[in-house]
Amino acid sequence: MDSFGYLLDGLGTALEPRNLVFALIGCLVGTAVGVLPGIGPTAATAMLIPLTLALDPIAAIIMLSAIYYGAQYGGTITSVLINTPGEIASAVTCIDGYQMAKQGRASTALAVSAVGSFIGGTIASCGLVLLALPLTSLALKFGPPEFCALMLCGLTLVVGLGGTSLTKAMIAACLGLLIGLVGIDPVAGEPRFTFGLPELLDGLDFVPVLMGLFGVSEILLNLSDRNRSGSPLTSSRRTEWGEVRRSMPAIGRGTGVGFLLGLIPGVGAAVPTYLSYGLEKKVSKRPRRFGRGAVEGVAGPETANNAYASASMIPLFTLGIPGSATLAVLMGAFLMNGLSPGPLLFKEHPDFAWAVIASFYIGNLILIVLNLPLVPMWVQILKVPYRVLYPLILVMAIVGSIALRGEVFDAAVMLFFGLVGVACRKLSIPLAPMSLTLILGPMIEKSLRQSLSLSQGSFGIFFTRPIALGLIIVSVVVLSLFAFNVVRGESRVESEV
Amino acid sequence: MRRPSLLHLALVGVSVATIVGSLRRAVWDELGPGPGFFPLVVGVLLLGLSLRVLVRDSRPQPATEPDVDEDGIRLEEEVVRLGRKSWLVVAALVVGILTMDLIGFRIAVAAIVLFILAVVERMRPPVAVGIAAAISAGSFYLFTDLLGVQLPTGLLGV
Repeated sequence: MDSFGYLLDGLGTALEPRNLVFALIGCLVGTAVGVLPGIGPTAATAMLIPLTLALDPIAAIIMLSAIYYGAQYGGTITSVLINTPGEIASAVTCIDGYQMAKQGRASTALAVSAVGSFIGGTIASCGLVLLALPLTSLALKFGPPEFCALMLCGLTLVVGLGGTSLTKAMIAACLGLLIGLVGIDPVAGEPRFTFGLPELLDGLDFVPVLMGLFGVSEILLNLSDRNRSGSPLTSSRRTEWGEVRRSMPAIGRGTGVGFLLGLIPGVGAAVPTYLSYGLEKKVSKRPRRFGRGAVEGVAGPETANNAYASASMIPLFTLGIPGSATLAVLMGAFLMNGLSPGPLLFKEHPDFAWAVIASFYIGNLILIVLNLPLVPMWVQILKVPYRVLYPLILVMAIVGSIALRGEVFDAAVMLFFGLVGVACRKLSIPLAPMSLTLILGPMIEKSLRQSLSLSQGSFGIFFTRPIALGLIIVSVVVLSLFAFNVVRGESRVESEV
Repeated sequence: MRRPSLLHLALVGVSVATIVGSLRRAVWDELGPGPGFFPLVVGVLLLGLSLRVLVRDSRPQPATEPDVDEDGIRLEEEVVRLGRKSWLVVAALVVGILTMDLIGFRIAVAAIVLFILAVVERMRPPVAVGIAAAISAGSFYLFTDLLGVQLPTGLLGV
């Protein structure tokens, strides 16, 4: 039987009422948990594995996969409504999504996210069926030099994320890199910048840092703004479907970015969202709208996020390589049910493999059917008086910080970075580049040092591997073009001083 | 010429501290960059950039036309300062977080929320107490009982 035949069989299994119910429960639970700050898809999936122990393998994996997708969308809700990323991959949505909420366009932002997530997830699931094996062989060519070059490519986005001042964007990038250096050196095993605190040996977790930078700093500034008589948020107008339609090109590009990066194990869910945001800003005819409520700044990253979630299943299914922590948890669930992901899965258990793949389509459909009608419900949060809402947000942020490692210290980290966020706003240092390098920095350092270990300290390894060389050339060209334009612009301003 | 702000000086201070900290570790060994290499590069770059910003922001700024975006909409400069309310909230959070391991999550959070509602927002005490208790108990129940997350219970085991 060919793939299409197996897929049809799988659809039949996934559409059984029992499995549909589990997919629905998974989507609901995943969305609800994803809304909670600090409880990301990894923790949500891990915590809810016990719920699936009594189920048969197909139902268990269908439910866990639905939790994974649901948690991705849930993180978007808090990013848009209260500028607090529910999970790391939703951080970039804070930049424009929250601005849209402040302008009374929260419904549109959430609707765009739902539609984009559906389209990105569905197309990526089709890609899983059609292109799994050929693309996976390409992804296998990615070693440490290619990873390092890819992350450097991501770093060039810093210049596009930073607004009009390249200097301040680079300061933000450096601060993000610095935050990522705290902890144990990934190669030598020495502590760095831990100040003798055992809590810092594991480094600074992204979630409390991002919650502080975006969420807590926003609250502290809102409380100080005498120009605001009440809530900084405006009751949302109805969804503007014209804007949703106009964001289709961004959704298309986000699908491509998320899908391609999902094939590469180890990239992580946040990188596609930042790359997508940078791409949207680059191709936009009105880039200065970004950071002020540009719908493409929500559509692209949210689509990339879900396309990534689907595409990252490809290395797991075809090679048995989990591309992220969440997929490692899913792989654990596979093993607990007596199934080994990898090339033999399709041969030995085709009914299981294709039923789960078919359930991805169903899960995406359930998510949009659930979440679009729920948008008016979510935006009711904006009607809660701000003086009650912000203490609740602070409590959720404290709990979310502590929940990660069980350390009250992480709540202190969150508060500290809230004040850092205020200081950055005071100096007009943008937060977006900082959040990008916070994530990329450790990955770049690790892959660079691994590459140089492979080459006995020679940088030539980056020039003898075609994929790495190609990515480095792209990075240099993009950076040079932007720097030339900005320096020419800044020189024109300085000559007038 | 304007005086550099404390924040500018703090930025320079952080970069100098980073350079000093990185030089205490191996910058390069036989296999390439050591633990001190990346921090040194970041520290040097940050120092240069923060000095540039410090010098530029210290110069008198010329009067310029209002900044507008592609649609001609004026881009307002954000006025950034923390007022009394913000500092009170920060103080409440500091005290609550520092004492959380001793008094437990529920009491600490209830105290933080009660202080914010009753003192900062000047809400009527019975309403403030009710909301604080609900938020504290609700969040504790949600995360510990429903999601199995361990939250501190303090010396009293509350």
